[in-house]
Amino acid sequence: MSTTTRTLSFLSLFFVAMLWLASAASAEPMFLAKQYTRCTACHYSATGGGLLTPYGRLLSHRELSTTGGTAAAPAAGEEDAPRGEQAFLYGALGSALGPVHLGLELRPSHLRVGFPGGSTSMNLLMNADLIGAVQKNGWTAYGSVGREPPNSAIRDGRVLPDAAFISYEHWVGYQTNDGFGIRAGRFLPAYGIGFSDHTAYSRVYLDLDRNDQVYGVEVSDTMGPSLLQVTVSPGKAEAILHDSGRRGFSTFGRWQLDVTPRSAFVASASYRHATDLDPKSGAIGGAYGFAPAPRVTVWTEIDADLQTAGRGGRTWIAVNETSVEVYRGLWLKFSPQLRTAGGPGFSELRRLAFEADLLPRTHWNLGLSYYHDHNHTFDVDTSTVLLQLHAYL
Amino acid sequence: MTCLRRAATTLTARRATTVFLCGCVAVALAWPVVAVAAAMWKAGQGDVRITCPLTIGGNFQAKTTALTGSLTTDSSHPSSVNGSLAVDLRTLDSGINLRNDHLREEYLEVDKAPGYDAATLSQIELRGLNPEAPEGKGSFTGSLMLHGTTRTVSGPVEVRKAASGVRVKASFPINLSDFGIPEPRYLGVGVKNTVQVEVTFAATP
Repeated sequence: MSTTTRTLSFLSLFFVAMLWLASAASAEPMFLAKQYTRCTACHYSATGGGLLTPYGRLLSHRELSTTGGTAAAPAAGEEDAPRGEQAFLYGALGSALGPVHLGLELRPSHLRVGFPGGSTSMNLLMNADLIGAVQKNGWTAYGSVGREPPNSAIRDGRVLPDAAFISYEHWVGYQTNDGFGIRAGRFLPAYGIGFSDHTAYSRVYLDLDRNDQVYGVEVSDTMGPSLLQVTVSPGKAEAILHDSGRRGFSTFGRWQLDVTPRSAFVASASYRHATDLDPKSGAIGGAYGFAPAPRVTVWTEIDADLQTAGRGGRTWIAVNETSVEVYRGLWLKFSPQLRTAGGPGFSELRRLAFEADLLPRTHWNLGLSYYHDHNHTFDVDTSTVLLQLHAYL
Repeated sequence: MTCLRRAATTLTARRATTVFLCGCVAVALAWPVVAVAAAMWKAGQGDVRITCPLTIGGNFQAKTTALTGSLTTDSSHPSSVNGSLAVDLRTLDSGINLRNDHLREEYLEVDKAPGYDAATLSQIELRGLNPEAPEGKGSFTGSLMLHGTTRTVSGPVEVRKAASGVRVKASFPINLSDFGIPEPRYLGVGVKNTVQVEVTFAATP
């Protein structure tokens, strides 16, 4: 193996390992097959992911998990029964916290990365976060505290070797009855489809990854079948807190049109001003999802990533995700992805991803993923196997 | 002259015969049209979709194929259609058991009393369509009995010829509160008061 190839292999490994280090939970666009087109049906956050609402918890119990309830549903207005398989730590504090809902998100994982000439594997705790939310009279306050894994947190441009404290999200929002909403704080901005895999090309290469939340204000409006979300921000939250050289004004816009209860179109755009270290950049894209059958969802997103600096250029990103519920609680996913070359430093990348998502019990998600990534420019292949247990408690 | 008179008489008789025969043929040809117009139309191959907008945005659809009924035209009231169409509400399926349970038991209350398990449309009046030869677009009004309450509904209707009869597509909005249906709200997620109903069926003589 040549030195160049070894170097590229090492860099690929390092990059791939970094990609999977931590992940904020995301929504599941595959539930379009269940006629859920909006994240807020099950999540507090308008951009999905994180703590489930009582409705989302109940849905997880009664409709998604393999061993979930099949008996009569709770009466209207009543939350899920605090007993049975869905009860593990749910409601453990009773009403001691009043209207505050707490959740614990844990994601122990095993990662194995294969690269030319070898492979490596590691066990890691991707997430360990305590999340709380309170919702009353249209107001929502939401926040998380947790641990960022070793070799993940960045302070003044340097990667910390140790685990660090992090609060991925904390925000306050208000929603009127006629669909107008506003929230302020730290959150992941609305853009495109929030695929649950945070390493999807449309997330990781468009700065929508694990630590890419912004501090900002989001205004949203629901008008019949459409939803408009606009975010304005002075910059990424981590940059504002710990890496001022990367702080720069950012804005995002996202428009979703529910064509039918089983199909939706999404158009998005973003702009980031230049920072001390990054060029001015932007993206524009469209996505379409449809559920041709009650257990099948197909999403396709195509984005143009634009950078105007000399090192940058234009790249195209295309991500397809086809999800099939082959048995209650068992989803199989297939996801081909592409990022075209866009100039020096922007290789053409191709990925085939396969995933089996098993939801054996309420709030438990066991995922087995296989990724084959091919750097077409340098002809380097990496394969990754990721086994993770994702528990919302 | 006699020959001429005979000839004229013969011609008159032939004309009368011709006119009579033509009349018979005309009546014979026209009879099936009248007979079809007065015939009973049986509804089948139904597809009923109820689109329910959610309070949080987005919407879901509940659907069923359990539509039955028969319709007859009334020649003395050309715009009226007698008979009724009924939908079995127990078969409404929204794709999720939890939603189905709540839809049928908490809001439509299909077990509450006799008749609550069906929605029945009757006393249908057509506008812009000829009931004797219905084809094209128009509108309708009708009496909808749902949840133990009868209210007038109206909307557009489209009729197209099909292989054996016609294909009918109609839609109309329903205000849930008008029918005494409890406000659907569940753990912060609810259905707005106005839902849209779309009905498609084949009508065969």
